[in-house]
Amino acid sequence: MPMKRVKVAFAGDAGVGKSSIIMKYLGFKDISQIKKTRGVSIENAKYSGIELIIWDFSGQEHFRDIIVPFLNGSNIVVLVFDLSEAKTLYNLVTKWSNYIVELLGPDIPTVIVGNKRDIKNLSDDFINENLKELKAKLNVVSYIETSALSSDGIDSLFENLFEIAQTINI
Amino acid sequence: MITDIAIVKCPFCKRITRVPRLYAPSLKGIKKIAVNHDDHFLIIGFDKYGVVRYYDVFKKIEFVRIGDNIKIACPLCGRSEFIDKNITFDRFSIDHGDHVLLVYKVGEKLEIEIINVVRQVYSVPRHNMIKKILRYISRKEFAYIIVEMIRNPNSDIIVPQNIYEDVKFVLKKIFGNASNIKVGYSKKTVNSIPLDFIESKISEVEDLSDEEAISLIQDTIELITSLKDSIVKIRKLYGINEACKYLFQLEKTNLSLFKLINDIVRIKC
Repeated sequence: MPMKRVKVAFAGDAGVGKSSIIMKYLGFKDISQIKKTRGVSIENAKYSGIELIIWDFSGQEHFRDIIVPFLNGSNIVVLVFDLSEAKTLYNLVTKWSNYIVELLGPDIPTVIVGNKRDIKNLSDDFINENLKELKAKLNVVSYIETSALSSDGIDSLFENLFEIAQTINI
Repeated sequence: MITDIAIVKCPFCKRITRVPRLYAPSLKGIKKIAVNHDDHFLIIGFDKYGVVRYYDVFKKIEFVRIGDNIKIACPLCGRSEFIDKNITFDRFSIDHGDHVLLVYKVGEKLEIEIINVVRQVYSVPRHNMIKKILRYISRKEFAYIIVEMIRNPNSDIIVPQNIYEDVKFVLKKIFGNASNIKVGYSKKTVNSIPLDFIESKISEVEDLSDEEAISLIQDTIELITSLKDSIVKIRKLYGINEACKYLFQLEKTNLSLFKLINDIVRIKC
């Protein structure tokens, strides 16, 4: 049986840890060595007949106009924010969710990830209020908190992505 | 060598702003400072090397104590602020003199970040290396040199004697190696479209300090390399038609960048 290929887009502000999450899952141990993504970087992960083609998008504002159109064709979106930076969550609601709706429509399965759980300082109230806004705009299927530093939540996130991938018709 | 003063351009009022360079602790990512620009604050973030990696602008707001308010106390100085309850969705700053509150308000919930305010440094303007080079060659010629470094990193690149040292220094900083730079007179004619993108980035960095200018050009080169690598990977994974689809997408967004990438990957769509 041919491998089912699913395009997963990781997006969100610069420095929230998108590449660290992906590389940690792929077995990279020392995340302090991970360079910031400029443009896009493509990785893949396979499990039980499914291949996730993971697109890691740079969060840099300088090049956003160039990068964002590459979101086209995604089957799942992962929006990542930093649990210690209010701005990164606020930007998911005011910027990134708009790009997603504009390019992929509101129905695309979207996973929200709060990374850097080890240094979390945003209140749960503030997070929940923003999630409410995101759910009103997007098809948010789950919210997961991770720490790329300690690996917390990384496996659950990818298990979740493979589960969603299974349900998608391509 | 890194200079003591970082020079940045405010994305809102375009004011050239000089501030003392700071260094972020390596694990914490970015160290932020705020600069008072009258009706807004320019927020500047430094990385662990002291290079500006981020800037943002927050409008300044002053609330009067009327109507429905949420009362908050500044965690640093204790001063009370009364924030309009009717604002359901906004981000703004409140000036507290030597520090500023950055407020993110979503629904009835808000988060506050406190940033130290620093004074601008008023020093004699000093031209960065790129601006010095541009006294002798045009932006397009310099863009051509950079593009050649990407396209043909092993072939000789000819530059005039009077800018040889400066070009070599800048390119070594950007690419890590510039041993292929030679003195001479280049007669090559240049197709301008693939250069426009780099040329626009060069003009963006002319007023910045050397570190910030070189860092932005480096980011631009890395963007080009990552797009090239992605197109090659897409071709390998999905075939030429899919790679072409992404190239056409790029063509719609930025013609110059499309021509440049297509020149490097050489895919016939």
